[in-house]
Amino acid sequence: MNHEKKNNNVHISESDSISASEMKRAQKYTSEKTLESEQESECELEREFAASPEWNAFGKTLCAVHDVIYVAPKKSPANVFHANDVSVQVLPQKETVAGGGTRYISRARRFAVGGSAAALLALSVLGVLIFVSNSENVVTPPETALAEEPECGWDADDEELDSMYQLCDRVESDDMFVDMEIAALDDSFNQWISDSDEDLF
Amino acid sequence: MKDDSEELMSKRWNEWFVSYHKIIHGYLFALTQNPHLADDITQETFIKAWEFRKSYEERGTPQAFLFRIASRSLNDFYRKRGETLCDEETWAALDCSSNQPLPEEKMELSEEIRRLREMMKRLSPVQQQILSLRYFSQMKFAEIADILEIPLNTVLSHARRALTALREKMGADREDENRSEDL
Repeated sequence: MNHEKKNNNVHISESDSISASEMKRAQKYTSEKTLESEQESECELEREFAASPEWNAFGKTLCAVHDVIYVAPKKSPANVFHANDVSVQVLPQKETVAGGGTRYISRARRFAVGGSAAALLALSVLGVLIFVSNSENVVTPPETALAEEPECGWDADDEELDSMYQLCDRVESDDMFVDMEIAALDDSFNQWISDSDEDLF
Repeated sequence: MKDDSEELMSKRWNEWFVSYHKIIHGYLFALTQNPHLADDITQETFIKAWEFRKSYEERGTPQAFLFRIASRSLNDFYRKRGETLCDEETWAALDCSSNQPLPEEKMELSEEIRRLREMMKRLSPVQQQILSLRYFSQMKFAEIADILEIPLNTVLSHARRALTALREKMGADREDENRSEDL
């Protein structure tokens, strides 16, 4: 009885192994067929594309537009890139944003930043030029003009100077009221003006 | 020895840059319709190509390697921004081309842009991607499927539908032209 059972088991496992190998073969056949049909339809589509005027027109349009907008890199690749300094020369033009991650800096923004820097530089240069020009007018007049300039000055005598110093001392030592200080200064100033006028003219 | 291999890789990278910069840029431009964005992602592509240079050997041709990186970089960009390909705003920005061609050229260009825009409108983002890749890389559909990491059958059916959409669009254009001539 046991023997029969064992034989049955053997029979079952043999049939299992046959069906498994058949399955494998069938799968292989199917995949080969699929691959074949895929390749066939690929070739067919390749031919269709090659003969299609619509595809040609699409390509032509795409090429025409791209040719206009494409600007080849100006620097030679050898200058742009070198194995040892990749991190310095050609880092991606991205910036970190608040939420983490990165964001591309658009060409317009780069242009704006560059433009601002250039404008700032131009303004600085202009400022320096204006300053130099003004300084030249004030500081270095022609030597001949200087020589012809009439001498203009007020030579205060000792008494006048003494009275001015006294007045200043009194104001500083605070022994005059403010109104009187002003009045005294005013008087002193008027006196000085009239004296100066006499001397000058 | 290590220096030699680095030097060799640097030389190879420079060759890639010269040979493939324009077509990678063209592919990215076709999908973004934004020259500046295409510039940035092309730059990103070549930097990544250098960073992943060691994995290149296992991955076949340099062209496929670069287009795969470009495609992933573009998808990453849109995923981060939560945007879709080819929106109206970028098309409008393209109309004001910064290259400022002569008036006649400008008219022709704006006509080309209008035509391209209308063609692209008829295509889904995947179709746009397949056709642009096909045009600029000149690769077979099987290679395109490999780059975009989608099954070949899917690529083929998208490409076929895209071609049908282009035919319909151009057929409609021809009908319009005929009608206007009759009038």
